[in-house]
Amino acid sequence: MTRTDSRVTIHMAASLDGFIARKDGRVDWLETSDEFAGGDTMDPESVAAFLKTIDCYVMGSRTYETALSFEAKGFGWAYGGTPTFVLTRRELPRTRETVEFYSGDLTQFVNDRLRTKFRTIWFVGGGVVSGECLRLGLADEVRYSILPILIGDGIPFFEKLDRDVALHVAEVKAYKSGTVELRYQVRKVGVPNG
Amino acid sequence: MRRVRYGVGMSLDGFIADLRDGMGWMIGDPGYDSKPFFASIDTVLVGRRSYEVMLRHGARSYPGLRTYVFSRSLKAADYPEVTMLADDGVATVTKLRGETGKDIWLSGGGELFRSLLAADLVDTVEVGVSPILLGQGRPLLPSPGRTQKLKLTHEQAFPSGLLVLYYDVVR
Repeated sequence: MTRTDSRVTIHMAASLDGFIARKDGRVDWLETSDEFAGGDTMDPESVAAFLKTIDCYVMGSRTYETALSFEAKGFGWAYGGTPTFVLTRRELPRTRETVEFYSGDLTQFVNDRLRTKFRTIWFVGGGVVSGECLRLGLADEVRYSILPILIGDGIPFFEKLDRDVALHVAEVKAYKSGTVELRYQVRKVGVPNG
Repeated sequence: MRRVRYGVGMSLDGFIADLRDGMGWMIGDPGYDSKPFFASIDTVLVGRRSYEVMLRHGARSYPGLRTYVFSRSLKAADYPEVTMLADDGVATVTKLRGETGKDIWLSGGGELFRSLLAADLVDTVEVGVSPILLGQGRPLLPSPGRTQKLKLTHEQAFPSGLLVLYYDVVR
């Protein structure tokens, strides 16, 4: 049985021109030094409190590898003790008990395994996984952070989107960093079972 | 120095037109007042493809604005309403920026933006973001564009879902 109150969120940070990483996967441009006077600040306490509301993470293999490389550089593991599902057909190192690998039908996985167990489900990238999640009509909302930068080329926000997806803006917030965070509800018009 | 302002509408995933050069998916909002913008400019720069889209919609120039079109294929004599130039815009825009007058609107498209950005001739990026994902189309900055830091100066969200973001190009 699918929990009726479960919620699938896609969270992505992208450049203004719509890229989540450079062609080779680098995200060196994520650190920006902009100062937007009218913006909100993100204090560590409220960020931590917010992250506690997330029940599980879902990511692609390259995003997992990026997270591991951040950890190797001493930046820590970004997903705490929260269950983290990595969608991959490859053999990857399992670095902690909270990490699980899955390769199979995404709709089945989300509806039968995740939605039955978790309330707040976060897809954190990359473009292929998130695009697939959206294309299959599995996402309820998209949280999209626009960074104040153009990078000119890279891995697009959503790959393999074969149709237009209309969104309904639920919230817009600008931060002091110059990042604009948008929260959209996915309009499930014409999607079966939506 | 007059500012060159890249002002376009785009999808959330960074496309300023779909693959057929269509823009029917863009939304407006009754609360968005474009008068201050048009009062602040007197010149508009248009790339060849964007100009052809205008022509298809029956517009041969922007009324009241000095319109410069950059194209190697269109013949100047056929388009007396505009100033048709066969260069990539860099020399012309360098000269225009130095003249006195109001701001200069770079209305598109992406290719013209890329060449002017590469020559440090763009001062602001002002985008009206429509709440839609297209997946593919004409990019805001076609590849390979350079990495360019921006500074958010203003943002405005409207009830229709339109979001207008104003950035300065950081030099």
